Amino acid sequence: MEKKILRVKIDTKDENAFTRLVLEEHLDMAGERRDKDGKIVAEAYMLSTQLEKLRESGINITVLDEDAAKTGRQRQKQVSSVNRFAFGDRSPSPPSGFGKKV
Amino acid sequence: MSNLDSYLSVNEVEDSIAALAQAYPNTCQLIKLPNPTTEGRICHALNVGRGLVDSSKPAALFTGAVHAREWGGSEICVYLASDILEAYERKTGLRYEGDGEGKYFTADQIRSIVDNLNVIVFPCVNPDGRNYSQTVEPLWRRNRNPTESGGNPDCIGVDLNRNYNFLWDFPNLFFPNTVRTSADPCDWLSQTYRGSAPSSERETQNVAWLLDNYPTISWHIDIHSYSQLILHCWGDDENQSVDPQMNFANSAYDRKRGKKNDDYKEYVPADDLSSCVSLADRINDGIKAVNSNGYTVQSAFGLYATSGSGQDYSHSRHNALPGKNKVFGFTIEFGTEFHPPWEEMKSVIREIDAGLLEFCLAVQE
Repeated sequence: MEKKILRVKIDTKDENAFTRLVLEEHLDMAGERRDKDGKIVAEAYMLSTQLEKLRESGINITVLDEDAAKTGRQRQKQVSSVNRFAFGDRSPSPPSGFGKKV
Repeated sequence: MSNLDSYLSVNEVEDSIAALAQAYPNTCQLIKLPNPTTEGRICHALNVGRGLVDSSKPAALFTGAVHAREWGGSEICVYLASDILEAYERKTGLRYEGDGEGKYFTADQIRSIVDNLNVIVFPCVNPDGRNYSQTVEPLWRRNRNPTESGGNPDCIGVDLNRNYNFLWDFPNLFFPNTVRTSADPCDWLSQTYRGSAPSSERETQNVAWLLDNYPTISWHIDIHSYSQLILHCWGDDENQSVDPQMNFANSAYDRKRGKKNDDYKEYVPADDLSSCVSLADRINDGIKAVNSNGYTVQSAFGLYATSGSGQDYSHSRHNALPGKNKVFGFTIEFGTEFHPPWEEMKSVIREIDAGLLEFCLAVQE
């Protein structure tokens, strides 16, 4: 059965508690920043059971995406399904980047 | 179909740089990496420049897609190379536009990069992982090595950015409960399994091979997502420039590393640190011209303690291994999610490519 993964935002000023939770709960951490006032704002991907434990710890958590894997599967549709640079009878045109040649 | 409609598949990453090598034979060279992946993929890098044989010219290495789900690093590398090559061939400059004032690189500046520097792009370090993320499990982070899995699909894969030979043995080298690395292949929740040994993975070995075989490489930028950060050394602890003996190779400091605001801090000569910060700031200058918010420049440890990272491995080699060239290591964490919607990713490519070009100018000064 596919696991349902939530994308959450965590914010806290308690560095030690945060680090302990990351390691104890084996959190899959993603974006993370520390503001100048020492506040940690981080994003993590987790199961709902992990979310419950984090909420019990008192850390401020906001769910950003109830089903991050579903969102990811939508992004998979934005991956090319053909090979635009395949070498066959003719050499492919090389890729052209996003800078304007001026 | 336009080149620019969608993310590149793993086959496209390989064939796109092969197509560049064929289209611009005088200004780039394909480099075949020696270690096939677990799933049998052969990887290539592309050198943009007059050739790595000329040892008088320094080289910069840009790596992408170390982490499977961080797709856009490949696009950033491929389209950077194609921009430089096409602009050089057509004798034009390059303009990158965004919500900032925009960034323009003149034809002379493009020529200086090709003529004075070698820019090695290795766009897809982890093609097995990328393919799996793009076709099966989008949040996959690791490679696809099943060796330690015991047949459990959750236990497949190694976090390549914990596998490099830099303080890999974290339980014995770091203060307890500080570093975000796992020694358990079945830690599928955190996905930070370090592997069975330092540089055990073929993908990691390929990056090390580039550093070994092209000793003119003086800078390594590892492109990841996300958080809009530019990270410089070190990742294992805070920096200090006072005591050279307090360093990663000194066993007297084992089990002391990784804790914030304690006595142990990782040694970096003041000039080196200044260079790192200055170059990171220049990358940000290029980014800010396109994305007016810019990114945050900080040490990797300012994020959290890591072991086995590519950035730190690159920077450690000249101290850890006799005769190795000094390499300044950086990490860029682009964007605000692992694989943004493609329309948003196009903007990210513009800002990061502008940042990398600004970096290429800065290292020539």
